[in-house]
Amino acid sequence: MTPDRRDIAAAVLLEKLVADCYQDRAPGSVSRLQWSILRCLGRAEPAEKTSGWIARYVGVTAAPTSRAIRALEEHGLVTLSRSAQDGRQLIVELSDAGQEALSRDPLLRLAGSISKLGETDRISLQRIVQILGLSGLPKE
Amino acid sequence: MARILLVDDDKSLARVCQRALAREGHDVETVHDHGTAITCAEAADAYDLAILDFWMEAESSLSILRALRAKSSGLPILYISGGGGGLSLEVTAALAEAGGATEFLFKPFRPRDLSARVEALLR
Repeated sequence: MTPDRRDIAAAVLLEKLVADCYQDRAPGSVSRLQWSILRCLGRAEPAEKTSGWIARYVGVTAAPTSRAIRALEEHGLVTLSRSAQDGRQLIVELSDAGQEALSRDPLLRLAGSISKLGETDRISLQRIVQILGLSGLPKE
Repeated sequence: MARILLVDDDKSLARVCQRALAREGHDVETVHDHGTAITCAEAADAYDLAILDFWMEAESSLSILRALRAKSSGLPILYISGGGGGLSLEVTAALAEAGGATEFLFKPFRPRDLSARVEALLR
């Protein structure tokens, strides 16, 4: 089915809502990938915090994940050490500043807006993004 | 002792999980297919906790999650997954949590990680 004007308008609004979360474009600001990594570290079990596992979690290849982790280290938001089991793997931990940064996660603003919807709308939205997230985008 | 519904099409992993939880004194009902899991979900109130694998027979188990949530809004539901379907673990967890999963445990995990997570959810 070809998307109509309202479908396109809905897609524009979705894009705008997410883009508005990440308004901070100042040099040294935390990128979307870096925020995903911080969220990942905020919920990972101790055994999972290797750079390889983080790459799997965020669904990005090793090189950009490593660059993002190094940038987070430069911002003082994570600390790095070598894995005792596999010296090629970095163990990544949230620093105190990283833990504190999670309370300023830009996605919390959007989540806060969702939480303020009426119960029916809120459940509908959760269901709709689930359907869209599972089916993914059609291939070009 | 808690009554736990464990839904995973990986029979060997389900056996390891079942043993770990039985050692903690829990009564675990193990299910390996969608149809039986949906039937069990009809009696969601009979369980204290459910554990669902995200990918079941190459399909997501979100319909099972929906069936469980339709019958019980308060049942703790622990999702487990090692990824698949071309989705990142981040998206996989978000899909389950948007559907009402209480917690997510990423594979591979140790039996003691599972037991610890279950005990925390039952508290």
